[in-house]
Amino acid sequence: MIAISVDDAERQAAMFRRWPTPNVQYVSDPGGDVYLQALGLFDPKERGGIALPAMLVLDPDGNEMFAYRGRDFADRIHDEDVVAALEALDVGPIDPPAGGPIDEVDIQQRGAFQPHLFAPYFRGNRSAAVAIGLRAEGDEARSLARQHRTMCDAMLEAWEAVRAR
Amino acid sequence: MSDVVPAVNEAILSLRKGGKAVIVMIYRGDW
Repeated sequence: MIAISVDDAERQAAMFRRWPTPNVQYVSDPGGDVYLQALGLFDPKERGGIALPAMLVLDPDGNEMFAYRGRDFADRIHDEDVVAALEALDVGPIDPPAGGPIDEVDIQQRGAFQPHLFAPYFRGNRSAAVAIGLRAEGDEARSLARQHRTMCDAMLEAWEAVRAR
Repeated sequence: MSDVVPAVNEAILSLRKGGKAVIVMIYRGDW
């Protein structure tokens, strides 16, 4: 598994310390010059230029077997969709890393998302999605609000599973 | 893609050692 973002190597290293993920190779692409722009997954307007969240699954011939490309910085795939795509490729699960996210790390590096903020962040997102859904007029607007709420629910459910390990 | 994404290419080549797929996650970063 490869994880690409605009963060520099130091920030990615800090992220790895807080979120130990030994099966992931981090790739730094500040400005999106090498990977993200070429993949069409770079938003130059957001925060000085950051990646659009996406998930690609490539087979041994390099063919794109599955792709989810976020429309904006907060548009993320739902777990069950990517799991279904991987199962269709006969890719089974691997054991999760031992332990889990670590808040108690002495990191001065800005930008390494702190695990204790994960749930409040997505709870806040969920509440906003509910409020916007109530105000929304039209099927598309309501659908987008519902999708965002569903994504937040999936994130919070996954978080509970991580904390329960 | 092969010309512009060498890290992904390397990962694909590693599949010949027995893997089935490469997952490329693009995350927003910059918190």
